[in-house]
Parts: sequence; C-alpha cells; structure tokens
Amino acid sequence: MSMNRKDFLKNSALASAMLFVPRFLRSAQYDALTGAAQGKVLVVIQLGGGNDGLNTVVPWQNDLYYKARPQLAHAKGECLRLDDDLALAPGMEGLKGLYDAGHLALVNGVGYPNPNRSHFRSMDIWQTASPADQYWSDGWVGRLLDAQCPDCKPYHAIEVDEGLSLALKGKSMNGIALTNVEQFYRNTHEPFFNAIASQTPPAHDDHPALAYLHKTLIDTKESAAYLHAQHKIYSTKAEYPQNPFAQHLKLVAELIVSGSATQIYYVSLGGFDTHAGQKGRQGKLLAQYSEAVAAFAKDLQQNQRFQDTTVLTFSEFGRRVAQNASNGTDHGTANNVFLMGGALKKPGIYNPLPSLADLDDGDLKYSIDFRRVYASAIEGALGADAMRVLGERFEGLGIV
Amino acid sequence: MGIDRESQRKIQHLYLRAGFGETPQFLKANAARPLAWHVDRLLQDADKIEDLTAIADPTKGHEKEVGKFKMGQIFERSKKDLKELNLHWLDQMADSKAQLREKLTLFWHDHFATSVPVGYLMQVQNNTLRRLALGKFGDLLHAVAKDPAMLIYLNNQQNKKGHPNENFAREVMELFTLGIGNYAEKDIKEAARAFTGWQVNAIGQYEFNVRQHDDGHKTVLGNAGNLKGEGVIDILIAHPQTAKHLARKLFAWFVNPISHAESIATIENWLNQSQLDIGKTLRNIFLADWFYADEHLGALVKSPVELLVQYKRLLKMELPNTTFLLKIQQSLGQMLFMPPNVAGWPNGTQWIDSSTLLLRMKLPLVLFGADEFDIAVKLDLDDEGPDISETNIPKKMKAEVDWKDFIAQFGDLPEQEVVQAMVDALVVAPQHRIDLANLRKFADPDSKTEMVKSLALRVMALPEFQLK
Repeated sequence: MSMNRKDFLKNSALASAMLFVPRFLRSAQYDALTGAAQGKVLVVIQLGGGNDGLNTVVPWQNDLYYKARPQLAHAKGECLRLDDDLALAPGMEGLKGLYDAGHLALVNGVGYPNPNRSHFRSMDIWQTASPADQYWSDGWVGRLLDAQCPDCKPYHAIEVDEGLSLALKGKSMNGIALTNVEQFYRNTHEPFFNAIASQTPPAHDDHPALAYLHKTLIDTKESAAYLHAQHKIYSTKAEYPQNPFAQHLKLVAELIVSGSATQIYYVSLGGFDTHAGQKGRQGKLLAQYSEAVAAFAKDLQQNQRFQDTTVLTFSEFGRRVAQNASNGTDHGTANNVFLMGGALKKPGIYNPLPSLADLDDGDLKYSIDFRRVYASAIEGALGADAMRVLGERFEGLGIV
Repeated sequence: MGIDRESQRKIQHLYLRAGFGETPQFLKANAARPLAWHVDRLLQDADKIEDLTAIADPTKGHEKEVGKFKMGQIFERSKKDLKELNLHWLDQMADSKAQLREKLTLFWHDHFATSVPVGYLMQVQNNTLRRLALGKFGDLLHAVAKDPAMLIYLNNQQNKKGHPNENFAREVMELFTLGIGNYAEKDIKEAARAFTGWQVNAIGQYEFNVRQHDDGHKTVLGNAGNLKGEGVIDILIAHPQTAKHLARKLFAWFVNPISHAESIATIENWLNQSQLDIGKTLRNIFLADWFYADEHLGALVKSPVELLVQYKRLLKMELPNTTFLLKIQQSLGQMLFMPPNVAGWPNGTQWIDSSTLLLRMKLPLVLFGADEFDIAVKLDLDDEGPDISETNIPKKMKAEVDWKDFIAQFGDLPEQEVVQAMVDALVVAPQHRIDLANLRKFADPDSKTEMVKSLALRVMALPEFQLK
C-alpha cells in the first residue's frame, strides 16, 4: 500500500518538482527524540489578520513613528522599555518578563521579496514557505512530517483548532487538528466509526484514493487513542486565563509535559486585522497573547520542559507605517517575529527595526527572509534538516 | 429485472464526473440504455444556459458615470451578496437540467480562480464562465481576460504604461494556458505591457484606456510587433503548450489525478483537432472506453461543493438554516467564490485530513437530524467572505427531505438485499472494504421505511461515498 501511495504522489499532477527526498538526514539527536518524553518541541503561534508589529515592538524614541501615527502611537511613558530604541506595547508585561529572563528573542524586519498584501495569499506563503510567485499545495510542517516517514505519525504535528491549516498538510502525511482530546477520542471511537475503521484492510489495495481514505481513518483513530492515553498522564494545575487561546496553550503544555511524541504544535490567535479603532482591539489581543504565553512558559518551567521548547510567533504581514483615517492601519509587509524558549542561544533584540526613513511605498523593508526563521526553528529547535523541508538552503539565525 | 452491476456503475461514474450524480430512481429506470444515450442526454441538456440572477445590477441609474472602478462607490463589499450568490449557485447546480454546464462552470471557476468581495462582479464572471463553458477555449479566454472581477483580482487596474504590473500576464501563462516552465520571464514582462490600459470603469465594465496603454514594440513567445492584449491572448491560444496544459487539467479533473500519458495525449489531440472545443473534447472523453476503466472509477474525491450538491440532488434536500451550508463549505475547505488563491483549490486526496474526514462521516447524520452539529468552524483570517456570522444555528438540522421516491426504489426488495442495493446505488468506488453485515447492524429495525432511511445515512457516511 505504501508503494501505491508513493507512486500516486510521484505521478500526481499536484506533486511536482517540489517532491523532496522523503527522509531526514537523521542525526542521533533526532532519533532520540521521536517518541521520547524528553524530545524537543516547537510551538508555532500564528497571529491571524496581520498584527501591527510597529505598535507591538515600539520605536519609542523615534520621531518618525510619532509623526506617522499621531493618534495611534503608544506614548513614551506607557511603553515597556527593552532598550534605548525599542519597547513592548503597554499590557505586555508577561512577555517583558520573558525578555528580562533571557527567554525571548526579537527578530525585526522579517518578510519576503515581492510581498503580498492579501491575507489569504500572504498566509499561504507563510504556511507553505513558498516563494511569493509560486503556489504550493503543501505546508512546511506537513513536509517536516513527510520527511520522517515511514515512522511519521499524524500526532507528531498537532494544530489546536477546529480545522487543519495548510501548514500541517504534507504530501503523504497530514498533522491533526483538535481542541479537545476527550471529544476527539469520543468522535473517533463511537460505534459506527469503530465498525468502519476496524475492518481488516486487504493485503493489497490497488486503489490509491480508497487506500488513502482508509489510512486516514485508521491514523485518526490511532492518534486519538494515543493522545487520549497520553493526556491522562498530566493535567496542569497551573492557572491560565479563561480565553480560548490560553486554553489551547494549556492543552499544548499538558501534552508536552505528558511526554507526547508530538514535535510541533500549531496555535492561532486571530482578529489582528485592525483597519479601524486599532488601539483598543490590538491592545486587548496583545495582552491576551502576552498573558497566555507567560502562563505557558511558567507551566513548562515548573515541569522542567521549557528548556526543550521553542515558541515561534509570526503574523502573515505587518501593517503600513502611517495610520489611516479611521485610527487603524492597513495591510503592510515586513514584521517582527518572536522566538521564545528556555534555552535560547541568543536572546534579546536580534537586529534593529527597519528604517522608518527608508520605506518602500509606505512600508517597512524586510531584511530577514521568513524562511531563515523557519530554518532556525527546524534545525535549532528540532535538530532536523531544514533544507529537506524548505527546498533550498536558508541560513539560520543562531538564536535557537 | 436485475440490473447489470457493471453497466450501472459506468453510468454512475459518468454522471458523477459530468454532473453531480444521479438518483437511484433514475439509474434504475435508465440502466439498460447505452452509455452513448446518456452522453447525448448530458450534452443536449447542457444547451440550456441559465444565468445566475441572485444579485441585482447596482449600476442601474449610474450608466453615465465615468472614471475608474472604485470599490465603495457604486459597488459595495457585501457579505450578504456573497452568501446569496453562493446559495443560489448551489441550488442551481443541484436543480438544473444542464448538469454538464454547471459542472463545467465549477471547473472554470477553479481554473480561472478569482475572488473579489463584490457579489455582483462575481456573478457577472460566473455567468460568463457558464455561457462559454462548453465552447471554444479561445472565446472563453478572451472573455475572461476582459472580465472585471479578474482584472481587479489580478491587479490589472494598476498595470499602466511605464509602470507595468505583471500579475495578470504571469498567471495567464502559468495557470490559464501554457503551464509553468513554458515561457520566459521576458515573455511575462512583454505581455504585461500589452495588457496595459485594460481597465474596469466606474460602472464595472471593461474599458480600454488608450492613454495608459503601451503601444510600443514587444516580443512575446517569439512573436514580435506592436502587440495588444488581444494579440497576446491569440498567441497563447495558438501555442501548442496550451492544448497540452488543458489536456492534463481535464484529465486530472474529470478522469484521474494520477496522470496517464497515453490518454492525455489523446485528449490533447482532440483539443487540437477541434480548435480547443471543450464540449466536443468532453464528448470524446465520455465516449472513450478508457474513461470507464476500473482504475478511474472512484479515483477522485468529491469536492465539498460536489458532496453538498449531491446530497441536495439525491434527496431534494432543503435545509432550515442556510448559514449551515456555508459553514460546511468552510469546514470542508471549499467556499464558492472564495478560492484559496489564483491557482484554485487543491484536488484529489488533498480534500481529506482527519478533521474533514470526521466531518464528512458525520455529515449525513447531522443533515438529517440524527446527530448534533457540534463542530465549531475555524475562524477566517479576515472578513472578506460571505456572511456566516449567524450563531443561532440549530444543533439538529432536520433537513426537509423528500424520501418518497428514494425509498420506493428499495421498498420492494427483501430486507436482506436492501443493504447491497443501497451500496450499489450510492457507491461507485470498489466495495471490497465494505462489510455489509456490519452495516446492517446500524439499520433501524422499526419499519421498512426507517430501515431504508437509516441505511442510506450510513452508506452516505462511508469513506467510499466520498469518492467519485
């Protein structure tokens, strides 16, 4: 059956030249982590809608910033100062704590050539890690799974959400999406599902689509059973805020501490598309983000797992430098990315903010390709070969 | 009279590919007719062209207005319009006699994937696609290249003399005609210049703005001259790679996502012999023996829209809540008028992951009120799509279903034969993984009617039912 699947992929009109060699160059470190309780973990946090990076990491000494945003700029006195140039937005005390403890690295000016200002398209580009002029139909996390096959399991990559993002869809293997382990288990272990999934597969199935459906069915059921068993091991006593995003991170922490073999978790916080009345809305979201992440870090620290964990936070684009007429900001380009973890090699502010005096038609110019950040996370956080996932060599950042 | 299973299966296959499936009652009544009769029927019925008219023309009374298209002047972003348009098209796909034309309209909506948040402009484009769906590809391409939604979507409004925007020129070569690798960057740059000045005016119509058109000398794919946009389109239509690209796409979409060099070459031949006549080429495909080869039956996964339309057709299903239909599209990954990008939707097994498979297997029970809809919908990145904000969606859907005709097909069979007949009527994929005895355990024993209904829901929940 696996031969058929492979042939299917090889021949499929959808699988093109992007088909990589389906294996990692495995290091000892990597072998050790599969299925091991002490494995390294990468958590990706996606801020959906285009977070305004300039009002998140604030150039609090820069007159151009205040000039471009007369109503929207954060007052100097309110900002949480990181150094002589940059500060975090008010309300992000949790993140500031992580910065002070050396658990946060801030990468400025992350983007890609020929930026696209459509949410969908730019998110596609981030999730597939494709060049801006190519349309890829699989995601970078999914390809990371593919590269581990035949030992790959869907639960090696989990999205805590109602549906699976493109990022977690590979060529031969997909991650899984769930928000509630118990419910996921119940849905995949009710009588009808049991009856269909328990049927003995034929020794030889020359119908690739049918074989794929049944394989997905059985994988789903097995993953649910695995996670159900793992999840019983640890349930956190730590306090998390009551919003869905924080609760999703809580589930991630429980699975990490339980020793689930999951290597990548994908969590989203949406609502950052602040074209109007930005200050209140973004402030609320950033506070939510910061509080949840701080609770998550604390929980992992108490369980001695923070040193194995890297958290990468991104948004599909930043916003324009100048505010608009509705006290909001419109879609822009380059943005900041956060890397967090208990064992960062290079915490702090990695590079300066792009110049506010040298803009590209009102937008910040990117200086770091986002795939370098991915390469850093894939190699640094997981010890895997980023080249196999990204299709070309990107120099890491040396942060993780 | 027993129906020959193999010929029944071929007829099912034809209707699932050329349309959105036929009912068990139709299949039973017409199983003895030759395939050629069915192919003729599909093509004849496709002669009828029904425009979508869900959204009223907002330019009435503004006909004299000049200037460049601006969203928000005459044309407003409207989530309500996008919802109306979506639901109307779903209904039309299910109810129209012109099944093949509706199917092709969906094919072209995927091929010429466009998304702008103005329902009326999407409706105009959809009607253009439908009108030209089965004719010469060249006529369709010329029309799409001047379609207002397309010009806006691919930034041709910003394509001006001296400041070319290459978006449309790139996609027309990469995705709509030649396919990647069959042109040079230089060809795109030169072609973009030829499309300068192709704009949409204030009342949402194509207009050639001669002042912004670059009428200088250009060379596109070896053809030199003071090319205009129309000239570039003609070059692309005549280019041999276009027939190759279309042949591959038609095969992947209508026959099998796993390519087959010989059959694709045959399709390419038919396209070339007919000056890229889509209707004639499809007719040849549907009449070809290889179209009905075992390996092709059930080789494709029904797209979410195809699945919903088939439910509507099979059981004349009407839902008390229409937002639900949009949420299902969103959850399963295919919202009409909202393709993920200009490359269209991924095809084949990419529709299926753990979440979508679980939902598909639960869907019939939810639709027909036997189970609760407790699946939250993943929030979208922004608010450009149709309106799905309604929150008081009933947990139990209880679709209105006309079971009468459906049940009648199985009513006169002995009980132990119902389950096999049901699987035969609803599944075109191979049955070797289906355990009939297991299925029968889920039949409602209350009455024959309830038994037929409960089995139908279970068969429609099978992985095999997801295939076409």
